[in-house]
Amino acid sequence: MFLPVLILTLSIAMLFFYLQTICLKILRQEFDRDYFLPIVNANRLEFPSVRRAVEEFDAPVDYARFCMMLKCDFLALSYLLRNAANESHRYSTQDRLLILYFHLTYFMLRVRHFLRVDEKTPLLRLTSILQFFGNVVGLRVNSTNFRDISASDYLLTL
Amino acid sequence: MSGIQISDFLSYAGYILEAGLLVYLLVNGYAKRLWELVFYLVTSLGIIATRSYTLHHYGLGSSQYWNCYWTTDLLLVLAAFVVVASFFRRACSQNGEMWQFVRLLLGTVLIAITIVSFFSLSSHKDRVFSLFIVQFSQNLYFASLVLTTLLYLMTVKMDVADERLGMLVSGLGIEFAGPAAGLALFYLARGAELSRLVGVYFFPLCDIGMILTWFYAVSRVPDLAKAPRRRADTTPAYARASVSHV
Repeated sequence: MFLPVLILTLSIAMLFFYLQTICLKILRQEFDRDYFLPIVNANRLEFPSVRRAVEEFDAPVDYARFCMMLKCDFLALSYLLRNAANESHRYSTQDRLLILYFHLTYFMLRVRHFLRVDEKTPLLRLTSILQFFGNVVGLRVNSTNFRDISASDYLLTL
Repeated sequence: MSGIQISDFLSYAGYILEAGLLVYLLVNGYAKRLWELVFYLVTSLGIIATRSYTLHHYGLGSSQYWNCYWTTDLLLVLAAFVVVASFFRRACSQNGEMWQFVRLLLGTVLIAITIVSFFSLSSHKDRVFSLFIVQFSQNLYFASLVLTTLLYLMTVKMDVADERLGMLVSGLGIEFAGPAAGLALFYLARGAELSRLVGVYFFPLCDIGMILTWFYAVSRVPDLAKAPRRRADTTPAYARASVSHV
């Protein structure tokens, strides 16, 4: 009885570990430049300021405000992922996996907040997912021919 | 849609993905560089064809199908073990001494599993060969899961620059960890509906997960030779970009 329980526990832990590793490896994908910056500017996204507040200022985490900012950015970026310069108007498999990872990390953030343990790690991870989404949207927009209008003009008309 | 139809759909989706990945590897000239993936996929597809043929000719309850199923299962686990060993070799490409040690470790694991499987069946002398195959493949399966984890930890510890290898190992980890958890749950919840659902949905999903991860690794993650040079800092992506650029 002990051995199957041990194998079950270890195997489930390893399964989640490998799934997280795959997500982190996707997030580590290098872009030749920061495509997310025009997207952040055009849509007034707030995740860079959350990251700066968490990384640079050793102040207590404003949990409720940061959660709201990240959730709003997520809604905006997931909409753009689906509709901005995307002819199929569908998420790719990679997008779906990272959206699921965002929800799981957000859930872990809430659990950590409830248990009063470190909230900075999941917050930084959420900002990294949003930055990746911004880079993907920026790359798509950048590689689309918009004739004489700029990428940010196009995004603002969406 | 009934459970059997969903299970069949997932299984066939897995077969199609395996065949698709094999074609992708062959067409894009990866057959030599990623020979272990080609080897595993060819073995897996060959096993699917053999099982289908035996099932069609002898039926589900026949002893021929039972023997075929478990013998091919052993072949599949051995093929996975070869893939794990090959990934170890890839990870140790810059460190010959480490590869000598790992080779010894892999050989010892294989011999130890053979001996343990044989002695654990000494009481069933009448069906020793058939039961040995089942026991051996299950033990080798769990050993491969542990070895895959060791391999992953080794790539992290040795700071192996091959991102594609890390992704391939993670895919293999899903293939091993998911079914290992499923089999343990199957054992703990004997006869329960939950254990049946695990067998029907979870195993094909893990197979699909591995193939999709391998597809991503091959098609999207750059080869070591082509990979762009890393930036000087090694901080994660989320900590790298500065807000001051905004």
